[in-house]
Amino acid sequence: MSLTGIDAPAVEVRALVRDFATARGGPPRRALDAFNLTVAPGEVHGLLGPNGAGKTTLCKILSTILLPTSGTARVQGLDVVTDAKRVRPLLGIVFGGERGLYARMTAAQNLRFWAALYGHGRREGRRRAAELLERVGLGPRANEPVETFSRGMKQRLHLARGLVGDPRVLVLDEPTVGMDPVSAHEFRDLVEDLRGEGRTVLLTTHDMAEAEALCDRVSFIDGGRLLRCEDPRVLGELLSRHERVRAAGVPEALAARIADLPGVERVRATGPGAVLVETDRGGAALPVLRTLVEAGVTDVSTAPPTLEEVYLHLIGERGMAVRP
Amino acid sequence: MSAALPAFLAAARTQLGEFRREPGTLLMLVTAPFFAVILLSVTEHGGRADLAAYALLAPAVMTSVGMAVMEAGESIFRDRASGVLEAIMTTPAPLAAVLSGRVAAITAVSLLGIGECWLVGALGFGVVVAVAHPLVFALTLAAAAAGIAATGVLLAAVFVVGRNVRSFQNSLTFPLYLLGGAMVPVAFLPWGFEALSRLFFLSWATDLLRDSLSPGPVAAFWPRLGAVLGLSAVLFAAGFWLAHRLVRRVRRTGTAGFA
Repeated sequence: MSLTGIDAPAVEVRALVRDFATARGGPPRRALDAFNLTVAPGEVHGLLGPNGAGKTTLCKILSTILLPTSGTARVQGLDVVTDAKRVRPLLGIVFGGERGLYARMTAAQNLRFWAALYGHGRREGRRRAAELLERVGLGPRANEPVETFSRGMKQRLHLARGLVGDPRVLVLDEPTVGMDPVSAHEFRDLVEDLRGEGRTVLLTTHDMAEAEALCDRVSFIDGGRLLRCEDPRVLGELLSRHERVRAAGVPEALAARIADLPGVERVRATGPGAVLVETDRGGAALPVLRTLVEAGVTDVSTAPPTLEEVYLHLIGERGMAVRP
Repeated sequence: MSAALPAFLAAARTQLGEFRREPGTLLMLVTAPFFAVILLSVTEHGGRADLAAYALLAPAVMTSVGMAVMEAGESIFRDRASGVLEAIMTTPAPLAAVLSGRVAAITAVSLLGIGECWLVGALGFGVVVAVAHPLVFALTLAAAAAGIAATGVLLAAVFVVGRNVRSFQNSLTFPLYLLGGAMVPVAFLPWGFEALSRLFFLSWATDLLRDSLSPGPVAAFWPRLGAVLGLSAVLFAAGFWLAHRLVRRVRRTGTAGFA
């Protein structure tokens, strides 16, 4: 008998493989490769990876849209293949982008439709729709067609749709794509509320700062494989340790001097007189900035490392041993 | 509470709303009176007033079947393209319940074609076709509507996996009109066609509808109505089974979101 008690992990994925057929009978493309993941009940878990890493494929398997090629995936102890009917009421999914809504229907009509598909009668559907629209800040626009909404508003409506079945596990597939900074901030507050309600959230994102701010743990995925599962503080350390400094109008002698500063990993020329200084130690950016400014260079900016660079550091520091 | 009934009702409401928001989806109701004018002109000009009922019934039935086939396909096509189909697959509601709700609404609205065609006869030609057996007419019409809805569900389920839905829809309607006896009673068809058409509920239904408009007695009404209902039930069951199977197939192939 399936384990559906509170002790069961909210999400448990073991050796999950998903292949997709390719055109002209070529070898199948492997989107997930022996992927493992465990998410505890009530946890906000970040799934961080570049495009094509396998994040959306995992979300689709968990939400029963896709069947795995092999391996198992369970939601609250229920297998997403053999117990799909029982999994669906437990899980809500929020797609990234603008798909999954009836554009010509109003926000309220959309939510009432989706509420019905979760078994809610007409009155309950109206109540839930009104409540959720208020919650995501779309109450005043409830009776306007979705096609008139901005991308960020559609994302918020997606979130309301994901919550309409009152799921215990919510899968958010790049939910802040297209949101302006204010909306993204409000969205983060909403995820905090969901955590407070004891819901489990699996959040896929490219945004490392978002993952660091929201998540209890972060899994790094690439090429369909789990690279590392870390405390988000590790991510924060990586972001600050590998801070980058861009500068223009830097003479070669100055660039050489900066390369000798402690904590400077390397200095790359990115154009005539332009350099990108990469650091590998927390606080190393400060002497770099000071040296540049003292030498009269004022076209200077700092930036966190890109996701790809964090990946390189992650892999470089601990090797690829996590990849079986 | 099972999600099937609320999903059925919500899908029906959504489809009715779609008719309001996109009047182009009702185009067949616009063309039905023109077909009625053509056919009635032929029968009246040929001095065959006795065929007036046939001339009015044909475009009405064609409208109903045509709308069920075309709009069921269109709704699936739109849902695939907009990502709604994928989202439906994540809910507890069976896809067949959603399809049934949509097609039921389409079929109900398509029955307006009967009134249109009768009005064309009365206002355009002064031909008032009386319903000699109202109960037979009403029961047969209800059974036929159920069968047409079942046909729509079955085809919509097929369209879940098909990507060239539009050309398929256009090609499919005419064989259905023929085998359903919409324009010509199937008894007039060559033997092979007639035998095949007897497996299709609509051939029984159109014969009964024509009989209900004639003053003479309606022979073997209940067994014939039973044939309409039985064959419709088979279609419904096939539609539900196919929807279940094909949803599993798109889950395996990962093509639910392909447009």
